Amino acid sequence: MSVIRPVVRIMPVAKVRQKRLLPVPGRVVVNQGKIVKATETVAEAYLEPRFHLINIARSLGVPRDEADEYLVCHVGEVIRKGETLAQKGGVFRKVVNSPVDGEVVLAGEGQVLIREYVSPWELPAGFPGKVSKVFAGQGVELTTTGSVIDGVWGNGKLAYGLLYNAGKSPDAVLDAAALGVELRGMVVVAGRLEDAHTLEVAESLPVRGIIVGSMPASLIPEALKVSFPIVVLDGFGARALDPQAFRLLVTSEGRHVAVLAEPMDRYRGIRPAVIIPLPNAEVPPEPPEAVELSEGVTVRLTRAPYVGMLARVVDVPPGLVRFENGLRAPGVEVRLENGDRVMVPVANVEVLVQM
Amino acid sequence: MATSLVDADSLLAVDVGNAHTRVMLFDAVEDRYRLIAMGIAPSTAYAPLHDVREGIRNAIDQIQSITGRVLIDREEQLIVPTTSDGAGVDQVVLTLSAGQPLRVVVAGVLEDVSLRSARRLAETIYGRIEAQLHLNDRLHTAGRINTVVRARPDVVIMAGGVDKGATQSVLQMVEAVGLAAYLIPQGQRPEVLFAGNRAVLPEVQNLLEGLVPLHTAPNVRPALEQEQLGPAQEALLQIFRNVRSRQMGGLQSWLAPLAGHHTFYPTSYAFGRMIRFLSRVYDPAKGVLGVDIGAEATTVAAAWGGEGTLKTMTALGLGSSLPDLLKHTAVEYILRWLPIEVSRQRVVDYLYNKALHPDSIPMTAEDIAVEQALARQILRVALRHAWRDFPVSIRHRFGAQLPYFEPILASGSILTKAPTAGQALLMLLDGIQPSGVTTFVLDENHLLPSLGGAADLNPILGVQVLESHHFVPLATVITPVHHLTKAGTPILRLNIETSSGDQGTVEVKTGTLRVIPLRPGQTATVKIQPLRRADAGFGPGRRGTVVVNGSRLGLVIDARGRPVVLAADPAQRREQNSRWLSALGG
Repeated sequence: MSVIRPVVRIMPVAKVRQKRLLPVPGRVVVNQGKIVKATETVAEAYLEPRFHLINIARSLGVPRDEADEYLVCHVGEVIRKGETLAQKGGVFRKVVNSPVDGEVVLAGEGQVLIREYVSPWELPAGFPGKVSKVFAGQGVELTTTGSVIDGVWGNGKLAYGLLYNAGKSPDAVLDAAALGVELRGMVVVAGRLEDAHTLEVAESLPVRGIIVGSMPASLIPEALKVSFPIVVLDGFGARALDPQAFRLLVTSEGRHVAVLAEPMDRYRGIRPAVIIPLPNAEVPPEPPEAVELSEGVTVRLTRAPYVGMLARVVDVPPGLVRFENGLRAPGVEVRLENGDRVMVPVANVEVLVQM
Repeated sequence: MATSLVDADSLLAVDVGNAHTRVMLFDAVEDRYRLIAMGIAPSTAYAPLHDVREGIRNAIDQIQSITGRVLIDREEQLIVPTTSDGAGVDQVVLTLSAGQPLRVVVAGVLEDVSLRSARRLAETIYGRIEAQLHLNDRLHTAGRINTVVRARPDVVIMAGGVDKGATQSVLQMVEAVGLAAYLIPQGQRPEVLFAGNRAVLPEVQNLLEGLVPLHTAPNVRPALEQEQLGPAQEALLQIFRNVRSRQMGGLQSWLAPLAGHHTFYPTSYAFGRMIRFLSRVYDPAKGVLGVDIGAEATTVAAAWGGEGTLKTMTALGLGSSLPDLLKHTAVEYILRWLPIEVSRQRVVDYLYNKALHPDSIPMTAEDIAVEQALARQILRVALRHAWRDFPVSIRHRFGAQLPYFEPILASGSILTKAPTAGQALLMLLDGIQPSGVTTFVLDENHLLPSLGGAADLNPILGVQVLESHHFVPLATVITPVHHLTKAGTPILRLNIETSSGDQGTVEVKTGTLRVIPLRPGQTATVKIQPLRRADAGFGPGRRGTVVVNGSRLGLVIDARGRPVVLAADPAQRREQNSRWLSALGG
């Protein structure tokens, strides 16, 4: 049996493919092959469309089946606030005007339905790249060459800015005292975020974004409110930033980084990511989307007591394994970096692509 | 119960969950249907593969490997029906719980009549209600249009107007839904089920046919005090199949070659079907209860004499929806179940981390304790919600106490794969808090949904497999209901005589859990004498006699009282939880 596991990217140089999808169905505004800038709009949608139903018959004081003869607008017409939709002449002249700017989508049976004109919500590219695929009505896939680190949680925002490393070690806590005015507009990296006050200070500058290995889940409400993206790379709690990711971010200090803090969506295959575009003459390796577990594959363990540890697959036994604690599940035997061989559930590993 | 084998058709049951895909092969052996082999593989419905077929194929491969039976042909298709050389299977049943919750809008006239029935329907098909429309929603037509458009529903369930009742209010709702559907792009329009006042059906069809896939069913509320969900439920099942076939990669392709040889149900519905069937078989004085804690939803099915309620709560699962639990319960209610000290912060972090890796499995003592505490609280919340839909007569009779159920069937890896039987039983006792006499049965192989789904194709199969060794009882539990808060007071006296001739008398005190070993194959006649007007299921202070069959843990007496009251002091509470777990063997 082949056991496929999802891939986590921590890659210094790779061909990076990243989906950029609208939260609701909409319209893609770029073509496949187009080169886009980070701030360029690739798709748009109306997040909260607003419709207005005007009862012409009641407004004119006529029976419903007579109202249509007084209509002066038609379907598809762009209408401005205050413009006439229907009018009735005679001694008791009456006029019905549009309450909003918009478009007439239905007119008849004594009613007019107007879609209010609101600016569509725009989805930016997020990083400079090439449109490699268009998903009609949903978004695009962008491709670039550079470094990429997959995260686990994001607060739904994005930014593109210069990277600054605020921590001396993967375990360093982002301290409010270290957030000086020189960090205004910068994307700040640290091992851990610990308190809401640091977020308040970051917001007051403001910084361009924050990348951390972990933060307490209790900070989620505050993290959702700030104006800049926050990407958590490893998990909730007080975990150090993954050493590979830390090294990559430290060596990238001063470069432009895209902080795509999209919430994880397993259904659509989206997760938060940090992308550092790099001009590179050679064609770098492209990471797979999924890997079959087999001997030699590098994995990262996701649950205690080995959470965050790297290991290599030794064996994938068939069927269910009975673990020491009595649980039974599909298992995989791995060798940890310290040489120990342990059996863990297949569900507790993710394949790490580092190249 | 007399059963006979009529046709020896083999059957392949496929259950696609969010975390795992299970495949089970059933066939006749020595004139009885048996589970021949089972395969389990990680589900592949989501990224990166977005195709259910890989997971199904991996699970089938295991069965081929175990049995040597060829099930897949050279074109990679499942062989249906069985060939002359014994390859393939005759019938296939698919049950599905994988997928994002269906986005549902419910519309009715009165909030606590037709709308309530529409909501109950939505909760049987992994639906998440995005918006509710009713007469008192303070929205004009435009507001309702905006509500429906923004909800982006997969399904709209419309009810309202008893027969010979309201028509104009119903038509206003239908008009709003129709206008909203018109405004939604063609390929994104919802399936609509109308199950309201039959008098307006021609106008409903006139307004909606051609605009949306319209399904109709007899009125769910033909009269104010009468609810009939059955026909609407059937229509909703077809809607579920339509929507999932469109949404789920590989599903339609996998099912197409099986036409005429398969059935396809939501897992929760098939599970509920089996519970309803069992309620016709067991003691009519009690109901049958089924609970299933899944990765993305928890299902509670309760039935009495073949009629029942089904509630599938997509906000209560042990996977990616776990943070939603905190919308229904405070963290403190989870902490109270822990037998070891774990900080509030760590529990909240655990919840959110589990949501990031929903199919991961707890391995350390602390993680197992936290996950089991979560399971308890999920059960408490789920039963509280499910209770509201229990028949009025049942709720009036029992009040806040859980009605008598026998048996109680439990499913879900957290329960069936618990490290010890004692841990599984204590989760169930703490989470469900039954009363009277009941037997707990674990569905270790997740067979109940498949048996429920197979009932159309092969009614004999379900009966015979249920009678087999695949459903080993966990324990028979006697719970004297009392409100004494002081522990250590004698509350129950039992006189036990086993089938092997052993006799004994046991006195049980308040605040305790007591185990009397009784192995599978043994039986015991138990004379129950409640003390201090405790009610052991026969009335306050009334005696009774039951015959108990042996089980994994045997006979358990839960004298902790109802509801279970935990100490206010955290250290004492942890000691209580540890002591109770030790009483059940750890």
